[in-house]
Amino acid sequence: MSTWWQRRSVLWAAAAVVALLALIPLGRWEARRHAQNEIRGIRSVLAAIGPLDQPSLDAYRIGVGPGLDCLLYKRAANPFALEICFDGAGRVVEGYDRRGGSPRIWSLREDPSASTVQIDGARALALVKRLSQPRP
Amino acid sequence: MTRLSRERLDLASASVLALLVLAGASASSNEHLLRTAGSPARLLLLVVLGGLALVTALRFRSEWRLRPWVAAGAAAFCALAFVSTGWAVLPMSTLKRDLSLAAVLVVAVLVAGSTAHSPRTTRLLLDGILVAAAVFAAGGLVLWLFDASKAVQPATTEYAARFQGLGDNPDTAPLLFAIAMPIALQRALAPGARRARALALATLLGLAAAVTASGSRGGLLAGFLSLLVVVWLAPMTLRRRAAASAAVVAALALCAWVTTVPSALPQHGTAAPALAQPHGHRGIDAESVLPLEAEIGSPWWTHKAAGVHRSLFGASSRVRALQGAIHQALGRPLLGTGFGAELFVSRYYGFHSGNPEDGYVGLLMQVGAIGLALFVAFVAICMAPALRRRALASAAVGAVAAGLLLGLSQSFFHAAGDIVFVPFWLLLLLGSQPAEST
Repeated sequence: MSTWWQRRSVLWAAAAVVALLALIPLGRWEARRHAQNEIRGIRSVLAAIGPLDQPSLDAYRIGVGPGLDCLLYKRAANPFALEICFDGAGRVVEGYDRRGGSPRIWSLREDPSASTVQIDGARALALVKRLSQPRP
Repeated sequence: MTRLSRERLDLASASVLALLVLAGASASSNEHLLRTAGSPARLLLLVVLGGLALVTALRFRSEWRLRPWVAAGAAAFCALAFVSTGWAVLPMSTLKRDLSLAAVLVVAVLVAGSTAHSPRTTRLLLDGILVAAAVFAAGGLVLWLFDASKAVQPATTEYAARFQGLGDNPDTAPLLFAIAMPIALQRALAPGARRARALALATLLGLAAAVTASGSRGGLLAGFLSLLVVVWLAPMTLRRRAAASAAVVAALALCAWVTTVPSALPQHGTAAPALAQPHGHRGIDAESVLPLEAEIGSPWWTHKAAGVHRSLFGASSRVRALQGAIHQALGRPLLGTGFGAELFVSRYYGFHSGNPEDGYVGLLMQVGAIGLALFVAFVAICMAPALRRRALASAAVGAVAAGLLLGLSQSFFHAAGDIVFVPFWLLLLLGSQPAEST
């Protein structure tokens, strides 16, 4: 009896361990899928913006969240209609689309390294610096 | 000789538990000295409590019992937390949280197992938690008497002045007090010396007063609703139960009304932020007009006057934050970002917290729907027998109920540094023990 119980317990424990380990690839797949969704959204914001340096570029942010800088673009009457936030390496970590009634946000702030959207970091930083300078 | 040893061990365990809970509370204190002493003491005392529990378990091996399903539930939740390092955003941080959870669960299992055939042990342990809460509350009162400015958070345009005692903020200490309130009520209702019951009742009133003065809505609701659990489970006639329940509800209404008496500072019609304020720069500093951390619900969108006024039933900023947190969690719905990695991005106007302020949504973010389901199943396994049999440990079950209700307004199930992390998990395991233990 006890042997049967022991064998059954061992089988259950082994099944539980296998089930738990099987969660690792599932969790990683879920993380990748989430990152891909956010990257798609960030790319759509970048596409809507067009070239980074353009007349509608009218606002900036410096050092928000985990040290991100942001560039904001005007559309119609909204001065903050489109926005991208990037880290020091030029990885675009967040994208905002405020052209509707409420903001649509795509963000990889929790894991910036997952972003594969790259812009010219030095150029973007120069734009932020230019915007933050006092008016002549 | 053996009996005496058991009594001494139980007394030592209860005393160490009281000190452990007090150290945990001190680590969450606004007093620098208490905070710096509390953190290391907490770890040391957890080790000592674990050692005492192990000695008790080994010495009284035949009396040690834990329901296999409870052990399996604890092991499964803990194992999932560890496995989540495999997909965690911050693996080292997750591993640290895992180790904290595992250490507390191991100690809780060892301690709870020893109470299976010893109601006295359970009573002593519960008294340990109650004493710790009472001492922390009394310390807050002493601080208020000597330096009220440290014990009270001054009024703002958003909040009325709130009593925080020794807590880091007005919402800290009420967590512990809410969990201790059902223990105090059970002691007041239980048969025993009149003086001890009167002392328990006085402690209950003191804790309720401290929670009320703090204006913590979550603490108030959890504390009083958990008293109803004690009343429901306590062996008494239906008429007495109805009368006691009515008294609890009336006391809750009274305390809730009291929290509305103090007023916030008057708001002087803060205008909605202008659409664009160049501030003399070539571009607009968007952060000064529409800060990212307060974008959702911002008056910039509504073009209405700014200002957040907190009321008894008002929770619009919390609801916004909760909706946002759920939306964020659904980005990784099955398994989340890893245990302890509650990577909540606050974007909500009038919401001042780095976490969603909800333990269940917090777990959903960290370990996904699978982890949350495992947690709920574990709690159900622990509490199901208690709900089936009325003559159970009403104090422990009431305290767990308080913890579960607090989880609706605070995120602490995963946070080893939280004031009620250790008491909650320990009480959950104590509450899972068979009826005769309490």
